[in-house]
Amino acid sequence: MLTNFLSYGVDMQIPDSLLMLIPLLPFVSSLILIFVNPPKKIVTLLGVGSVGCAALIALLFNISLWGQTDYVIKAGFGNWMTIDKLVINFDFYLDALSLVMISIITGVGFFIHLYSTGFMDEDTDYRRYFAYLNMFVSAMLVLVLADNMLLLYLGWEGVGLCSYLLIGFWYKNRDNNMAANKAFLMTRIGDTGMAIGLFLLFYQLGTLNIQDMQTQAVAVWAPGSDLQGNSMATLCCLLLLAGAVGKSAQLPLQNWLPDAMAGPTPVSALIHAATMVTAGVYLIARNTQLFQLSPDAMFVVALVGTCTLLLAATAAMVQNDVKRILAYSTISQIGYMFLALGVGAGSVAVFHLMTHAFFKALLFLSAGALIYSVHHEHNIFKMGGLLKKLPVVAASFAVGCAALASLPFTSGFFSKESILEKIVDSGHTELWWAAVIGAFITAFYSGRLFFVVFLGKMQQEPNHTPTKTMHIALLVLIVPSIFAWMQPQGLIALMPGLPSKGLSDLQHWLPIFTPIAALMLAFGLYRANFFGSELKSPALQSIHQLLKSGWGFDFIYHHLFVLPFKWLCHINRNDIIDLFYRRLEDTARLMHGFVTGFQNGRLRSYSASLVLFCVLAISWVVLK
Amino acid sequence: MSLHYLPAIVLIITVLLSLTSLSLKRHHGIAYLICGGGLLLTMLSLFMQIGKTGTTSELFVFDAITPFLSLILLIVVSMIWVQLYQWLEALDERKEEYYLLLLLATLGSLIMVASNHFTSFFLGLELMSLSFVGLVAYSGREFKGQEAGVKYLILSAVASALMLMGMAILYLQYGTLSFNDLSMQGASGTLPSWVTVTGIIFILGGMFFKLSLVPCHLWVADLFEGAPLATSALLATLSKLAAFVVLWRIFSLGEWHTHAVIVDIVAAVAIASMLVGNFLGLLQNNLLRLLAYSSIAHFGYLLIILLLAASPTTAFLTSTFSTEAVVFYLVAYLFTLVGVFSVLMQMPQIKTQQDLTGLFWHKPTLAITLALLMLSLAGIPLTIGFMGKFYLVMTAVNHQMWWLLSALVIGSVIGLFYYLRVIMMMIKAPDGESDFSGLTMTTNGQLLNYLIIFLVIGFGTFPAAFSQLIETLSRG
Amino acid sequence: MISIHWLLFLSLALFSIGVYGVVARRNLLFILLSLEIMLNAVVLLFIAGSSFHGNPDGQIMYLLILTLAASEVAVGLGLVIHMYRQHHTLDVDKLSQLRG
Repeated sequence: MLTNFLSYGVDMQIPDSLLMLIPLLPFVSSLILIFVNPPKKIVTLLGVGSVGCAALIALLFNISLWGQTDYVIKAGFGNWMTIDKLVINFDFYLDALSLVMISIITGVGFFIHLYSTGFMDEDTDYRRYFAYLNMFVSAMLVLVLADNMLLLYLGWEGVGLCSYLLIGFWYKNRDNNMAANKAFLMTRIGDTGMAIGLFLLFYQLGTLNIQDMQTQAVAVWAPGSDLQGNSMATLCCLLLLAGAVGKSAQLPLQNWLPDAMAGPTPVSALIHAATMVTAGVYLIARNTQLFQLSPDAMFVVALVGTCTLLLAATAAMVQNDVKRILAYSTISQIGYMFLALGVGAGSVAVFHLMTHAFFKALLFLSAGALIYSVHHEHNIFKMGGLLKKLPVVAASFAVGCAALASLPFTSGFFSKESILEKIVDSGHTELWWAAVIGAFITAFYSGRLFFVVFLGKMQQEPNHTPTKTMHIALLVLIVPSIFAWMQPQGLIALMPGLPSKGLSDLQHWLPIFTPIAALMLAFGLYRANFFGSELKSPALQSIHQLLKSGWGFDFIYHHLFVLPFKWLCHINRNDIIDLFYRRLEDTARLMHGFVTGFQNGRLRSYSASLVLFCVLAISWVVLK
Repeated sequence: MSLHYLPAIVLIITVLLSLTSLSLKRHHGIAYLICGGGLLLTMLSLFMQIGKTGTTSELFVFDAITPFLSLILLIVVSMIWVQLYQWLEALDERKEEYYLLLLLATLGSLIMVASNHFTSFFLGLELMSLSFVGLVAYSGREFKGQEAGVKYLILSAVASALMLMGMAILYLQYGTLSFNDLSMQGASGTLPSWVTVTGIIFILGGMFFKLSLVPCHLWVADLFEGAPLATSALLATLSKLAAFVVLWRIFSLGEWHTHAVIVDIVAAVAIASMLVGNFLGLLQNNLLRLLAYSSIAHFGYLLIILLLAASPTTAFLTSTFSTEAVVFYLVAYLFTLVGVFSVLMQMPQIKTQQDLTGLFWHKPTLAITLALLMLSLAGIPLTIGFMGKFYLVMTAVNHQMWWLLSALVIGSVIGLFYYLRVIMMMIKAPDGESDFSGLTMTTNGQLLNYLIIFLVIGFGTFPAAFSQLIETLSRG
Repeated sequence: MISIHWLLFLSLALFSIGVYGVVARRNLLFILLSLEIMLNAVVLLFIAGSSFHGNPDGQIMYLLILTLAASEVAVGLGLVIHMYRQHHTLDVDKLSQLRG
């Protein structure tokens, strides 16, 4: 039966134009929700249904392309703008990479929408929430389906906007607004770099179509051509990387993500774990050929990933807030993806992106259910012993943590294993060690999180039980979090990796035992009541403090950028530039007064003005 | 009789019909419907011509772009017509003649747009101007309306006289009144060449009056304020578009850009208009005066187009690109402006910016429409106004007109101030003083608002759809 | 035969007189009269041109301008009467309500 179905599926032809519906459905639904105020049931139906339909279409594409490796589907609304050489089409482009992305976005997105109907049920701004969330999904889909960089940029900024709106969703609390601003501004820094990169790429390559760009880039900057070309390629890649770093919360623009947890938890799951923050990974994977032209840029990508993964993992070890732990772990896992991209293993990076989307969404959603159940408490040390009270949540949390810790036979294990393998293939042994240490820490804090929350004495009786829809979403997401073992075949064809060198025994077995050892250590320390207790030595305390603040980046940036800027503003309150603008204002006022003086309402001066023009013009002629 | 004259004939028949029905029996509804039907038929007959091969006769030219421009004119008039019934009902005057004058003015502008000869141009111009005097002084029992009427009559007569003087001089010089022959005879005239330049200056003076460009701009704000709202709308769109099209045609056919002085003068006028128009708008409180001032600036921007032929370099552009740019800008501006006027016609009691305070909280659709239109006038991205300005700027950049461009940039920055002020006023919390209770939204008005939003945002987001249409049309 | 230049200057002189009248006179009636002078100056030039070049275009223009002048005066006089009824004066400087 199943084989029949699959074989039928291979032959099944679905019209390419169906592709356009995928981003269109959530977009239309979002517009309706913005402009019309339907009853709540309809809101639910529209909000969840539109993404559900998109997910179904994505599923259809998956079925029809099953087993194929080399496929491209194009569909579009035709020309968007044509200005001389700049031809921008509103076209969508589906290959293995974007298929994986749209499946994640619509699939995970659908379950998160479903979950939200329970989570946001009592919120007064139910409609606004779904309007934003649908808008986000549609923008994200445009981002990953775009066939040119400008359309991609449209989606890129669209998700940024929605992220801003959703972080500050509960806008009555000032802190949430500050967090939203922070996220928006920090990503803006990266986006500026990316925009400049796009200008430069268009200037250099004469096209913004992504596929043409790759071929053009290879033609123009082919290895062995003159040095200048290569440095230009590096520059372009680094500028694109700036955008990716900002969006994906990597070093040095990483510190907006923990604050972004101010938004509703399903939002954190969808935007700040599963999809939007991985847009940077997508961007680099999409431009693989371009990046491969510049080994320097690739190494920078790997380096950024490594530093970020270590930094964020260590910071995650000491957090109290369950969502902050997950936020840091997201940063760290994206660090792994960057590392994989940097060593030229785009396909495994996307594989890890996929598994991470599943298990991190699962973790966030169960964290949301947890928070929902225990009086909106975020501090893990005020929870504890919830294993019996919230069995479904505990089970999904356990699966999520296991996958995050990459315990054998979970999805996270396979993706992380392949990343480590590829690092070995690339020959960067030092990066491999860093990644293994990172894996150890990851498993350690996953264990800590799980043990503290679910074992031991109960501190607080849960006052809510998660709704049925929330449970469904959790249970469904458990499946791929465990069983997403295989990376999609099309990805390998699209981004062929380096030839395998084979692993030494150490390299083979160490990564498998690392998480187990780390979990055991975490359990031991938990038994010894180490977590949550006061640290004795002042040195340890200060390290703890440093880690807790995420290596103090907020502090550093505050002193490095904000304070000098404020100081400059302060001392320049009456400086020349300001004076210039004041004069400009005064001049404008003065000019306004002057020219208004002529509007005296007298007919005769008006006719005189006509004559005046002729007289002046003729005298100009005569004088010349 | 060729098909090309059909629109004008349909309009004339409509005029006669409405005159007859008026003399038999006064009935507002009938007059409204006759006018609407006539406009519709005219549009249909124009629609048939689009894409057909054009002809040129002694008096008229029907090239690829003429029917398109005429159609735009008629769409603009129809958009005003949609609101007219409601608006005239509120007016304490006889109503039926308004339609008659409106149709006559439209006829005049159609003739102007197609004219290829000074006589046809002159006839169309005067038909339009004299009808406008009637339209402006329509509510002549009000002091303001009367004052505006007198001002427009005298000033437009002076402008006509100036233009006629210019025509007479050019006629004396070349012995012909046809636009085509202006360039063919070149410099080989009867009189010294400075006389030609003087003639051109006279014509430009009259044209600059019609387009309200500095220094002949003083009248426009008074007219907008004093004239009935619908008339101001027509004056801002119909009259200016027709005048600009004619000026554009004479300028390029007569190869006036070969006179260096003329180029200098036009450039100076353009720069002055951009700056003065925006300066005038800066602290202006009256919405209609604001629009008048902004239109001064906008036509200043448009003058750049006239100078394109004069500049030596065309970097990588096809020759049709400037046509495309000018038509796009014109259409963008006209639609935006007519949108603003129809929004204003939906709330006749609102005159100043203070009156707008808190509009958003009472009538969101209206306020959003007006806000979008203001953004479009200011040239903010994703609106049609931005695309228009973008094409214009690009053309200017390619021709390296740095002086004009810098004036454009400065002007736009100043302009932003007052456009945004209007929006700010609308989203301010209501202060209790402004009273919107009298505002009733009609279905007509609502639909029109949605149409405007669609046009402004739609073409702003997908400019290719529109620019390709223009491109195919301007290729012929 | 009178040189064409003289005719041009005559016409321009007449035109300037008309312009002066429009700008300097305050009475609306006189302004209308001055406008007539301006138009007549133009007409003179058209006729001169027509005879100089030996083609009838200028004479046709003369007829058209005559028509314009008549209709302008018709509309103008209507406004004059209207204005006199309301203001009891024809001083155009009194019409300066619209300003700013």
